[in-house]
Amino acid sequence: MKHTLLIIAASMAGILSANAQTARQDVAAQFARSASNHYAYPAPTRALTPAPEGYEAFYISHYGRHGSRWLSSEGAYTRPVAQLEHANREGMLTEQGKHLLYILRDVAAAAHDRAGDLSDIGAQQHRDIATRMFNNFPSVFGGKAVVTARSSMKIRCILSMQNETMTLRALNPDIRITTDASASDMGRLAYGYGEDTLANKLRARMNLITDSMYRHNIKPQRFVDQLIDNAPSLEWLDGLQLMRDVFDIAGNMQSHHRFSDIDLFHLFTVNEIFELWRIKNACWYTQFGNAPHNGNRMPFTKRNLLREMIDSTDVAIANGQRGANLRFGHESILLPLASLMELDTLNYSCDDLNQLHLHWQDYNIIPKACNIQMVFYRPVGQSKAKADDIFVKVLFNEHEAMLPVGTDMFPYYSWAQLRQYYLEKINTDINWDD
Amino acid sequence: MKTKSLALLLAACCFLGINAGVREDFKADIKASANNYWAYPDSDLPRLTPAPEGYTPFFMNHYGRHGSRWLIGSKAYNLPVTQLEKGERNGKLTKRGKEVLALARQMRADAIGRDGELSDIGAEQHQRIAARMYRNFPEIFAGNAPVRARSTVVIRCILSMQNEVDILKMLNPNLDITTDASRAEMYYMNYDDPVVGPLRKGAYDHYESLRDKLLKPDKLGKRLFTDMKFYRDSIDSYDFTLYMFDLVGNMQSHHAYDAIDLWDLFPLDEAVDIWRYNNMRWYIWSGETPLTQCRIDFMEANLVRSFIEDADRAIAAGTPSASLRFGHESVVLPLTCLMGINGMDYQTTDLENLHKHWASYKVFPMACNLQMVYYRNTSDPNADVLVKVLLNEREATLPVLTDMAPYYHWNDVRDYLLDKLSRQPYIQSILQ
Repeated sequence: MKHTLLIIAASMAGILSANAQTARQDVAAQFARSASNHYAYPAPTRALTPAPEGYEAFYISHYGRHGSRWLSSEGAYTRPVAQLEHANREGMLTEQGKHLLYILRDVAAAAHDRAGDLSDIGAQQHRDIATRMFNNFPSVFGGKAVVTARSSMKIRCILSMQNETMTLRALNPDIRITTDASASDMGRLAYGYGEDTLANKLRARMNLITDSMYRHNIKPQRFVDQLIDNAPSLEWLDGLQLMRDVFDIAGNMQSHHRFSDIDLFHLFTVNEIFELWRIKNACWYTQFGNAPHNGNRMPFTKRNLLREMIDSTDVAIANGQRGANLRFGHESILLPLASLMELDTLNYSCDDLNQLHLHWQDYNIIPKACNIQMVFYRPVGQSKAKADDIFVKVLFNEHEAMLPVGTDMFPYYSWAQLRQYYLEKINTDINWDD
Repeated sequence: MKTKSLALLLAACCFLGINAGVREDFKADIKASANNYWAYPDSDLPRLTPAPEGYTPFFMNHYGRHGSRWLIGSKAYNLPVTQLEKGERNGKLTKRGKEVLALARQMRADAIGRDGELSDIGAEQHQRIAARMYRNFPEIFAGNAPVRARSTVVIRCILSMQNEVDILKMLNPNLDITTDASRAEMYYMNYDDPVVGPLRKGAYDHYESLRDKLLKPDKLGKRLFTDMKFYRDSIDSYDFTLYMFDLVGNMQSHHAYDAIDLWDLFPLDEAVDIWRYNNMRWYIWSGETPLTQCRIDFMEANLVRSFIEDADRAIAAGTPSASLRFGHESVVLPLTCLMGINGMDYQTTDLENLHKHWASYKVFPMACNLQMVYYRNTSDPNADVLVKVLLNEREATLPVLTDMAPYYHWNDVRDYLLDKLSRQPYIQSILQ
């Protein structure tokens, strides 16, 4: 046990110290990362550890975010266009500003009536994830495997699910799949229900904190001056909003094949990109992560979902049926769920938001199509294996993750121990009222 | 003009033959009287006519309704319960009434959180339709053929699409299937035509005047309530009859209710009359009638243009492809009227005899679909492209002359459709 703890401590120290140097480098090396939750899913690079001797995978419990999409509101596209058009009408746009306006007009036109839609790249991400999942775990998805797939009621989630089920069917014509996207599931898969709504007041308070970070740390003058002449004199101009809007559009270009050749990051300095990312990182952390600022409570908004995942796993183990439970939703669900599950070092609790980026990076956690796959193993030939005999490993964005109980065979953990740990944690008393 | 009259006469003859006997049809299968709740009737599909010599299918245009679903709106399951409960509270229910109330309560509970959702039967319907589509036209769904599928933004339609494309991909993993469900496509997938509301409202009186003749709510009342004075005083009996008819009619949408039969509440002749009333309403809402200036079905003009556009593109491309669209019966019905499929462009002001000439149940059961299959002559590239229309997977007629029914010359059909659309000049052509 001590040996195991040392290994875990060493790994965590390794990860933490490594990140202290690399967050700034990571972002500078690939501006796409600065887009936070718009970062296009990075395909996994590490090989997976073979199954423990004498064991085979038989069941997967999954939660996955939809793939790359258009920005979620049309205003995100039309607001900066309106500001630049206004400047244009008054003859105040620089050449850079005009060039940007032409690009943003095209993008806004393409985005018309498509706010929030899954993109072509998003659909492909899910086909690729399903293909890898199938090929990684043929003993889960082969033969007459039973897959129950459910989605949040948002269309981009349903289409993400559809791209995965379609792929599974192509790979195994005998597979049995049922799908659903129902109001009756939203309380578990998505947001706006039960404990999740109790947390809304908290989120509003977190917003105030990060809004002030924007105001104190982001100086839009240089950015705006390259686009608009005499900017300080223009009362209608909201320079900070313009800068943030263009940054969001720049960051989401990677969601679309048709825009992948257009680079808007050149309008920003590397430091501006880093600062804008750093604050957005703090937003995600305080709103949905295990932040002291929200009383370390946010992860508990997903306890019903984790409980449901455990319940359905219990059923799968009891009936021995090979297959999977797939759930399609949002990063705003996955992030607190992953924190609650204490995957890797996600659950890190950090007081100082100015140091947060050294220890916690949203692009490593919630890219588009981020996903959690809990893979369950039983002794070969034992379809009625008991929970005590079951191992589990969790793939987080398809890399093997550390879990909050001990093991001497990482990445494999005792399901009985993990289950116990989670059930006890789920019962934590939380007061949402202060 | 002469050719058009001849074509219409031919169509009418076929039509009368097909439509003789609404009563006979419902006698054979009372579930058909549920009209747009009728579960897709695919247990006895006829064999399709082989392609003319030398012709091969290469493209499909399609518009299909979602499959069987739960009822829509809180009143659908609630109104039957609350009205029967009035009887229960006052000790005025028959034995059958109490049984029905228990069942209605169960259904209401089952339906919580499932407003309008696709049912298990609905998903299966689409899997079967896709399997037959593939089997009937393997030349279209071959190799890397692009299949462009899109749905309206309503979830039951998206899941219907998902169930179909899943099966197509399973049968040919090499198909290049793309899917979409976006507001950006709604201008043709389910166009919200501003002209339609006022036209419908203006025609309301035409069918309401026949309500008393066709709906005899006392008949249902007597089966469920012991006291007819109480019933007439306390229950809005017309509403109650219509809602109960839909509740009973939609049970066929769910496996869970396979073994439950409530049709004793609506014996054949009453079911026929209630259906006639519903049929009239659908005619006013969707049909080509002088009562609404023969204008309403033109709300599907953009959809027809989408068909033509995609066909033109496919013909130019030369390689097999398919264009699938998933939406609603409230689109399929006016679409068949606009295109004149199976004589559905019938125009009349005589609603009382409408059922003899225009029967909506034949067009829009759950999962109803229109498949237009295009054929080319593989050995003669200059030969006409032919097209065949399947309505619910049965060969259908168009009001266009042909020398090779059920196959038509696409150029003739295209001309006919564009000519008809041009007769309503104030519908903007909204092409993206």
